[in-house]
Amino acid sequence: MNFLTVTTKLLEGFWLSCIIFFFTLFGAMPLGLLVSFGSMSKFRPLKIISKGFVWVIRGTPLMLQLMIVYYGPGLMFGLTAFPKMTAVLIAFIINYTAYFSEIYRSGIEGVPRGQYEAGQVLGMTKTQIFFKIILLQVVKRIVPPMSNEIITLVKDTSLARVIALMEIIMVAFTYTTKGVIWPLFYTGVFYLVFCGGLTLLFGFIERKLDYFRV
Amino acid sequence: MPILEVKGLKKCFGNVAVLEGIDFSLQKGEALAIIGSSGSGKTTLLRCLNFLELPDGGSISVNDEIIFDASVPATQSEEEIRKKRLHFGLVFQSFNLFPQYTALKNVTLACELLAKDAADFKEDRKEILTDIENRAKLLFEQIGLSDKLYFYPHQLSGGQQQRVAIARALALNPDILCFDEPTSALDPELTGEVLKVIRSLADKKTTMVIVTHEMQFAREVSDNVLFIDAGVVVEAGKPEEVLLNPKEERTKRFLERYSNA
Amino acid sequence: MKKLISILLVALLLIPLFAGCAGSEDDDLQRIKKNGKLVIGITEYAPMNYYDEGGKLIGFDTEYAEAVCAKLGVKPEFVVINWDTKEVELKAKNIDCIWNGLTVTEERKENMAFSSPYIVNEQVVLVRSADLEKYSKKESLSGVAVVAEAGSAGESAIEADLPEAEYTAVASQANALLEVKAGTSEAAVIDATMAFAMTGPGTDYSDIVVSKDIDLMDEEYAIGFRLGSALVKKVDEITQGLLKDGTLKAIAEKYDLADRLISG
Repeated sequence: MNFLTVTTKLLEGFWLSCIIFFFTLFGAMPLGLLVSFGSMSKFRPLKIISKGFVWVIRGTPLMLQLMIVYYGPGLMFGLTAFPKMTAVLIAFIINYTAYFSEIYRSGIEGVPRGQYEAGQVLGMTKTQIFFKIILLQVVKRIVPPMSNEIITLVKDTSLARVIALMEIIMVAFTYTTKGVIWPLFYTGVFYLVFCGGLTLLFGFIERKLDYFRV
Repeated sequence: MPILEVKGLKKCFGNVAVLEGIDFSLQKGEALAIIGSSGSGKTTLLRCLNFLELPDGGSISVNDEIIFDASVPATQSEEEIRKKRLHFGLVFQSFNLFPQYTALKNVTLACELLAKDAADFKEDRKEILTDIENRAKLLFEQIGLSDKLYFYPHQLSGGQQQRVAIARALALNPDILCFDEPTSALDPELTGEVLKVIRSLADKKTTMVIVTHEMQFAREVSDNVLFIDAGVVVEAGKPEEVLLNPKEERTKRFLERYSNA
Repeated sequence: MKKLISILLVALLLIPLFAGCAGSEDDDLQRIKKNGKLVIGITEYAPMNYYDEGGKLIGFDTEYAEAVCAKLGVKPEFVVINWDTKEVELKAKNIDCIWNGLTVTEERKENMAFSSPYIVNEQVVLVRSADLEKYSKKESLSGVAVVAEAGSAGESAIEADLPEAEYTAVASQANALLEVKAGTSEAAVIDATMAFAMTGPGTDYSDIVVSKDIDLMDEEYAIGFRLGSALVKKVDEITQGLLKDGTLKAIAEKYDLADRLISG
């Protein structure tokens, strides 16, 4: 098995992994904020729905959620299934929305009430307080847990193969059926390089925010 | 004419009445010390003056203008309250400086945000901002921290942070400056520098309401003392009367307990 | 309360996964004619369905399916599926059939309708070449660690012919070979067709060999359709025609399967 051909094939698979990764981030980061507002809401029904959502999604395996999204429509309602990538993205975005929302919530609730009150007595509007005072403190608080979760996401993309989406690990497995094992272990290099880049990025962000303490 | 007049101020949390009708007034340039044991309602009173809590009853007037009346909903809209609370400044027990800004920016931030609302801001942007900064630098001279303008809060000691917090409250030129136990969160050796700043403000006839545990300091700095217990004003008067010759039994007991502690 | 509701919700979502969907009896034959395509669930493995150097999908099942679809007047659409969930794919109508060296078993008959078998499938025992002498008889495998793909024909063969072996199920046939290669198991039972494609010179498994004297029961490959599908009969008719005119034999020869083809 030619090294270059295998690398090219694995890169094709890794491209799909990257698509899952970036679109999940893109969707789950803002949606997580919405759900976290729901979880912190004083309006009880909204709070219950948000918390229930988080409980169900965090309480069931992502693998199962993937199968429900992909097979569910056909099995339960006789509908046509979503295309594989769409199903994967729906499941991943829903799953990561729940996790991100909890990180945001802890970050927002971690800002002392005194910070809001200090803004209030200085005559600031709610919007000014959020954007000028609270936001950056929340960002600083959530960078470490978010980087953890985002690096987990990189590796979770490999779960997409349970519905046979040809991500990198699945591509590697097709080589094992041809009697070639090394591509499977070679995939580790792709993940390592990608996560290494992310680690550098998060380290950079943390250093950028190192000038103050919360 | 008093600068501040509080009438029948009431506040409940759930079923618990914390303030049960507080009346007092304050003359321009007067320093009023509020004393009382924990849970007596003195901090709640201060928070009501700054609208961090909305009173359930009573009224607050500044310069003869009623700025809050519990029976008039129009005085309770968010926008109204935001404007009206600028009559007051508040220095917190735990400083509450904004950690991501330098000491200087902590002081200028609110002024800049208010200035941006003004109509002529765009044309005179540079001048206005320089002006705000220069005024802030004067305040830093007053609190003796001119060398710490560009320090972040975590690089300052507790005493220095509290002095910056005082400057921040002064920057908006409030009619009445309120202190909520300004030295309680400080190590004993750091309280002196903060008290010194407050004393210098008293000397300049700044109108102040000070909630404090420092009896000695209250006696030195205040023109009048208010003793609050269980949500009502028990005794009010000159510091030498209330603190040295209290008339009321409750005041005596409080002061005794305090001197024993 | 909210937990109770959520439990109910989850339960509602999950029940159909296991219970399947009763009563959707629209005719598969009309369905595929209307769609103009037959969606065929496959996994990539030689010699049934695999890609050549140019990236073109070839293999015995690939060409067989193409020939049948030509007669049906529809286009074949090959979809890679997860073999573990092939029954779910079929029930969810994500695919119309499984055509991928699928062994006929009694268990599978409960979930799908099989066409007439077309290839005789043999399960073989693979061991490291150094151990070939040690494991040359069925009896020599008693108490020895043996692996096969969970739910595969290999597993049935072990249950029937090697009951004394220390059997462990693994995720795929490829994993079974990996176990032997890595020394975590002593022998693997997999399809003969796959065994020949995966071992031998030029592969990472060149030191893994078939223990030829251990003879396990024969089984047969067939195409799996949805239960009650009208496609079964139609495809069987077409297959008969392809056998008669020699088309199928030619394809089998191309992939070295001629002696395994069921021709009558």
